[in-house]
Amino acid sequence: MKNSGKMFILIEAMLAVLVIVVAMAMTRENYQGKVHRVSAILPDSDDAQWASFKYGLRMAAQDYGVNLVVTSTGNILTTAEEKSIIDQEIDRGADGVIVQPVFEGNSQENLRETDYKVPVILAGDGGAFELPTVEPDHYALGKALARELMEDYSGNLLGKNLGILARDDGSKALLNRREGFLDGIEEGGATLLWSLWWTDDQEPEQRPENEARVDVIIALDDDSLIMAGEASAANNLRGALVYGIGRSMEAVYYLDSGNARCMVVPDEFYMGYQSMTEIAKALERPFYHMQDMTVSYTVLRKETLFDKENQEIIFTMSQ
Amino acid sequence: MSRKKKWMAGFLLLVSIQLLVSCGKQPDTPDTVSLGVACYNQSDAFLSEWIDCLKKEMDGLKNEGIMTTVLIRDAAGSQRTQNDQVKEMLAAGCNVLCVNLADRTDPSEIIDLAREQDVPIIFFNREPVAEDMLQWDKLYYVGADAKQSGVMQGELAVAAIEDNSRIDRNKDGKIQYVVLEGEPGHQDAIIRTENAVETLKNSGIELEKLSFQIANWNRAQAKNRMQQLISQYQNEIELVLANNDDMALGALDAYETFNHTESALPVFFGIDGTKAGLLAVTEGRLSGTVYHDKEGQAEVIAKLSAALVLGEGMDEIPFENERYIYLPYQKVTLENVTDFD
Amino acid sequence: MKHKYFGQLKALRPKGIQSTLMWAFSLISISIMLFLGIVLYVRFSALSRQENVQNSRKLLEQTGENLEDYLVSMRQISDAVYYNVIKENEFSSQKQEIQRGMNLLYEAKREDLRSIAIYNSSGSLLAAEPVASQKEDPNVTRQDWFRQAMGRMENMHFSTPHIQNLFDDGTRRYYWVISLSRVVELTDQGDSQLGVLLVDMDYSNIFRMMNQVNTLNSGQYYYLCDSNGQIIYHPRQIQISQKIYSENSEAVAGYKDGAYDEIFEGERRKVLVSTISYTGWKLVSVIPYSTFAHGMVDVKYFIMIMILLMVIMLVLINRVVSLRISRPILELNHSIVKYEAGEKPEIYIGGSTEIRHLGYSVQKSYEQIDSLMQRILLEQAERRKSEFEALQSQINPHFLYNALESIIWMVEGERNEEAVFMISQLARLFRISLSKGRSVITVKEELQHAQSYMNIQKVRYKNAFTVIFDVDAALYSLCTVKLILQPILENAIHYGVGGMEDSGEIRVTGRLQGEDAILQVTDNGLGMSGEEVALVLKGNKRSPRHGSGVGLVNVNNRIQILFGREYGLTVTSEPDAGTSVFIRMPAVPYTEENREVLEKGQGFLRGAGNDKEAQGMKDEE
Repeated sequence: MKNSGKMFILIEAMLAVLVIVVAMAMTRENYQGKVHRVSAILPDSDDAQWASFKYGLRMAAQDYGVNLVVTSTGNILTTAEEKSIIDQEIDRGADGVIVQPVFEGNSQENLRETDYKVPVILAGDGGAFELPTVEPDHYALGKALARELMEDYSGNLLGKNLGILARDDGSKALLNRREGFLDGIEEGGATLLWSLWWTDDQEPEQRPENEARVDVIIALDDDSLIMAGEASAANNLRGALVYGIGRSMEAVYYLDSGNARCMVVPDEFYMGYQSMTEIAKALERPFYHMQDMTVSYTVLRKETLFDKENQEIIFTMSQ
Repeated sequence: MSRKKKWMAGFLLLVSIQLLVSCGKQPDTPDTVSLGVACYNQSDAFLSEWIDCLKKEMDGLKNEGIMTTVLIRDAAGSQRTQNDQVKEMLAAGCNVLCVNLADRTDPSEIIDLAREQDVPIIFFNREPVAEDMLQWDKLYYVGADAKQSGVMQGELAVAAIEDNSRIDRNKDGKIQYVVLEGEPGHQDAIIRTENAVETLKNSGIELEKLSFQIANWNRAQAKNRMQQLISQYQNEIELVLANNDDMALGALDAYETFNHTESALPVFFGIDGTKAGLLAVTEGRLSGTVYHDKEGQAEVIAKLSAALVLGEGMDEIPFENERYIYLPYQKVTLENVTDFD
Repeated sequence: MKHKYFGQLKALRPKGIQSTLMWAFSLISISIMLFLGIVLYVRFSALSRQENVQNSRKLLEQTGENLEDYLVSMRQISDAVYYNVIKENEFSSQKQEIQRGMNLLYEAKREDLRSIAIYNSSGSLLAAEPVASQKEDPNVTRQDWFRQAMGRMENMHFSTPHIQNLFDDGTRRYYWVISLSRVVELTDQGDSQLGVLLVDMDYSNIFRMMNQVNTLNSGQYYYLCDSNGQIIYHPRQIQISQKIYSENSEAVAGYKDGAYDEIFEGERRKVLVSTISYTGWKLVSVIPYSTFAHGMVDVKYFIMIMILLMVIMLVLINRVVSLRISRPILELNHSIVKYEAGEKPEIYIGGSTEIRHLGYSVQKSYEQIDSLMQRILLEQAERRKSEFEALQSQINPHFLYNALESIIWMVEGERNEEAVFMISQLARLFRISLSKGRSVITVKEELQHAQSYMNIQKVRYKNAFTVIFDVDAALYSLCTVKLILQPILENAIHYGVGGMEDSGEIRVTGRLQGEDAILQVTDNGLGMSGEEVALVLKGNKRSPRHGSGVGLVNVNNRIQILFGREYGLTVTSEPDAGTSVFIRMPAVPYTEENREVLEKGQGFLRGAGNDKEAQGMKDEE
């Protein structure tokens, strides 16, 4: 009898333990609907040029069940401010952060790769940091642009004057693009007449139309391309052709209206999608190391603008 | 007895935990003004300049030690889209909203969303119906007195006509005019048109209405309409009144395509005083416009939103009927156009 | 190997009632619950899946209807423009009417339309609302909608969504539209020409409608594709074109309306298809099976917990029940085991009525056994004692001494014949007393013994009393225990007539009564009181005076031991009147067989089992 008494207690105890285990599993299922929150920090977050990137972020957030918060920032963002926003977001409970870093002048002491408690990934331009980065190959972008220019002139740029227009934001990306471009047209024989690095505050005077007349203006970033396109539309460029690297719908408009000749568009959607994917993976698997990734680009011209694939690019820009 | 004590103790413990938790949940001091701006269509020239002013003003608040963030969304003309955007902004933590209704007869959903979260709304530029404004006490409207703009436009036209007899080209003693209207149902459009025409009439000028067309505030549409009118009426049109500068410019564009000589052109009047409009006045293509005080509106909205969030300074704001703020228009002609820049 | 396991299994097999009960019940309850649980779960999940599919189908139909309504209204606009505006008006002279008509229709449907435009067969714009400023070089004739329309003139064509590449409205924006195009007959200066009527619908409405339907986060989604499988709307449209994601829209486009189960990329899912009329577009709902499971996870866990709780309860109940049943049995068993081990425990009485009854019976049985055993012991002891005493009485020295003294006195008085008589009586007395060691003799011999005794006593007591023997001759050959009359006669002499001068009389009678033999010794002596009568047959002997030492008790015992309890002595007495002692014995004829049987001490029990012997004995009579 004693024996079966022990058996009884044993069985009951086992069953009770099972009940607790199952109940815990059930609550954990329900609770693990705890959604991760990822913050995206971009300078001038509402600017139209981020449309594709943000769309990519959103789509990946949906696919991975992550809550995306795009921190709203004004259009002037210093690195110190950006850093404090990153810290702020982490304090507010962000489980991961995606950052488009802002560079000031030449100061490299920007985003310290402090050991952030949460996964942080850079997008667009990784600079010299050791944080994982998703970005286009900037050198290749410049080179592609150069290639297009060379093709248009059948390789012969002798006697042509060029002006390079770029925003002075201290980033290596633009420098790489410039380098890529210059390497690309080395054989063409064109003359680089001026390089205009403009900043927001000095804008009014620094405009391409105020520079010496050139045959081709090369815009290395979206804002520059828009600026050049605007100037061309107002007929202020004295016949200069505009080639550039851009990513906003406005830039596409200038291409469409004939004010820009050719536009190289990095795959912003993919960049957004991949950076969010990497963060999501890092959140799901504790030992996952986020990878650096390179995204590709597309060359747009007015004639091909409404091809199926290109239409999709414009679609992402309009989100 | 000891059981009762246990219950009491447990109860007290629960209550104190509740208090602690709710204390902890208190949002950190609301010294940041998170403004969410929902505009109906950012491609409207006036609106985009208006928003630039607002952004500047909000930035300027930093100098007073107030942190601000501004979130801007463009509904591209769809009220439904705007409702979704308002939801998005509330979710992003905006603590005051600035709404330019896409459909001014349909603010209820936005009001409900905001009221749930206790976020005040400042409507601007497209006025909701008075009944809708009464739905909640944290609704405000900042705009300008449409009637005044219409009257001013009329007065400008009167002055121009009285000054220049060549405007009546066919010398029939009547001024043949066309009106380019904004949206159907828009309060500003209706009031401006009515008042401009009334003012002209009341000043004793004889009018003959040739046509009036709806161009939805849009320059290209106005151009289209104007082209149709021109092909219909040829040179008969002597006066073109447009509810806003963009449409006036569109009308000008239409004439340009027809390559009329200057003497054959009618006189054009617009309202708003956009950069392009002012430029046109400077160039003499536009005979006059009425300046819509976007700087003033932006300033007052910035102040109002700060006051709503921080809880102080409401009394400094010049309310009419407790919730309305109207800023005055100003006439703009060639003489004083340089004042506005 | 197998044997070892079987051996182990066998060892596991529970041996006690309680274990058996518990295991049996527990196994039954667990298996029932499992069975129930699984059946319930399967049923429920099937039902819920059905319902899910049902709901999805409804939603699908509804969305399809909305879409169709939308497309229908677009067609109506196109028809209105064509039939009411274009056909009735002539282009060159009535352009205003045409414009006005188009304007009206556009304004009426402003939210859904992007533009209405009329082109001639070479792609030149004839009229457009609301904006007519074209882009620099829209290349109309090469645009899909134009070619489709011109390709099949009798139909209207819905394009897939694309960017409108026709007008410049100054906003620097691009709009996504679905184009509805058809070939129309234009009248221009009396001439009938072909042209194309284009109605561009704002795609964002459809986009928003589909987005709203897709807001459920459960893994289920809806998408729209054309009859070739080209995707019109898909929540992951861009991901598909970027090859991050894939969809089997081409395959699905071939399905007819209905529900299908398929496996795509290793995932099982249900696909519902609904065709949008006229356009041939397919509205598809995809429900991955994991969605069903997802909703069911809670139920699964819930059912599991329910089952476990039920099992716990059942096991508990089993335990309680089995305890109530088996514990009493076990206790009972325990008591019996102790008993068998030699202790004398309290037998457990408890549990259900049956078990109580068992307990009582066992207890009674044991008590009976006990008392029987005790009786046996007692009887054996008694018999030994009486035998011993009888043996002793056979050689009682006092009686012998007195008798010899009488003989000496006679010899000294030269009364030789009396002495010879005395000696011969004495000899006979002792001879029968010994009876060669037998316990059972004939009644005749017993009577002789008694006579001898009385003769001797008469002499001693100088004929103070008389003795009469009156025994039925039928009794002579019956069995009797030896030395039963003598003690009684002794008592009769000593306590009865011994003090009387010469009127004492002792009668010995005997006769058959039914199947018994009754011997009676009656005296007319002192008699005894009622209490003394009662005491006489109890073991409580009065201090033995001069008797030979073998009392009535002894006689009674010996009779009972040999013949059974229903036989023995009965005493009646009346003070000063006399005493009668009755001896009752069964009438058993004297044979060697019977003697042996009786002497073995089995008693002469009338009844089953011994009837044969009784019959046997009777036969010999």
